[in-house]
Amino acid sequence: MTGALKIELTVNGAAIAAEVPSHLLLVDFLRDQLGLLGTKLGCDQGACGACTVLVDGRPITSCLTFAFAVDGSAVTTIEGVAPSAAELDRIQEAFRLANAPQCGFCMPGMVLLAKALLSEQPKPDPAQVESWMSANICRCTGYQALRRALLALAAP
Amino acid sequence: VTAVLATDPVAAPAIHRSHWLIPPFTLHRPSSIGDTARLLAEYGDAAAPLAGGIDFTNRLKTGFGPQHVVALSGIAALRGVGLREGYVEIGAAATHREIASDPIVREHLPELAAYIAGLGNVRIRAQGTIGGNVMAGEPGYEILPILMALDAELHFVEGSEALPCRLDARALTALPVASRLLCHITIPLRPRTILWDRSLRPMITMVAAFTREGERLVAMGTALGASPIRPAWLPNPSAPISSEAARRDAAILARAWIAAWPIAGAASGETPSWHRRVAAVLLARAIARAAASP
Repeated sequence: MTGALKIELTVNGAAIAAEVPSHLLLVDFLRDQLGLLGTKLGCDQGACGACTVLVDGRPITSCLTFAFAVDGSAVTTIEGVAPSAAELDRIQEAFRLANAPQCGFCMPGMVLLAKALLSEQPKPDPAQVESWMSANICRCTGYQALRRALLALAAP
Repeated sequence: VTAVLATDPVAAPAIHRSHWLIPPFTLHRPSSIGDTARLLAEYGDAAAPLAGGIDFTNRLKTGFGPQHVVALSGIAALRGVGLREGYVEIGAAATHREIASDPIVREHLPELAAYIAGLGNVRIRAQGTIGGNVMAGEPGYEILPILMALDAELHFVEGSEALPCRLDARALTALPVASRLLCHITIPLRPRTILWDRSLRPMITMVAAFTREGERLVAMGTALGASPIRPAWLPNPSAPISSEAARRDAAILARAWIAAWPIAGAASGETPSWHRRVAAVLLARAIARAAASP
């Protein structure tokens, strides 16, 4: 197949049909074609996790994923996390209460990573929190606040 | 359905940072190994297989430009884990996450499950594949050392011979492009103790395999991976010894063993003496632990 490829997927619950060039990356599809600017482009090498989105519930690196590769999948970006424009998701609220966001650039990826963690491990222990959240980088070094917020959420 | 149609998706490629370097390519999405092999044979060096995409996409951003990309994601035969007579078979396109959580791997190869559960990070494990890790040819990547220790074999397209992982890793990159379709990996089921130390990765990853002959410890060999030195398998030159002697002389045994590590002629910028000294320390600890285990 050359030229534009037809893909169908859901993004934040909305069904999307699109045409994408074969070499278009998912991060560019989300930002440029769908206007979902919450997905950030950081290191551009898959190391920092700023571009993390969920594909069928799994955290993946959208700067290393082609748009065609998510054909038929359910993609969740940071714009699809909060239940409404006036209400934060419980993870966002926990991060806010813990003063975890500093410059905020890493937050979309951190929130989505935490969503995947709590989906898989509703009551993660400290080691699980560190193992999962160490996948993403916060250059403001707000790791302890993130850790505290997630452990507080996991507490009975 | 919300229709999102790019005005001219081919004429308006992504321009973010390095993304403009990614050239358009013709995408092929075969559903069988046979079709994949035919595509790779037909297009030769102009084609490249795409599995998880982590290395592949980063390479595209630095100028690698295949005209044909063959996506492996639709080939069911390349995924999954199977228990066979005396060995476990792992599909080359199985992700690290799938392998680490697979019931067969967890029961029969718990050391592999534990090792892979600590590979990279959760994003890498969700996306990266075992075959991609092997075939990327990156010296610091950590799958080959554990596969060497487990005496795994690599099975390529039908008709080609299986390659023991313990061969020189350069043999992988020397394969002609049409033969580079890694289909599955087999790991024999044997009694053994696998110990590793990855605390200094990617500078050094040490995986050692041990077994026992009665009361005596048999150190089978160690696999050393160290960026930028390709992974190597070093058979243990020493005879089986008592556990007490192994504990007592672990450092001496390790130094003799590591002396065979072929890194002296490696590229500039490396420090072979440092690598040897540190690897010997890691291996000595593994020998002592193996000797102390029942």
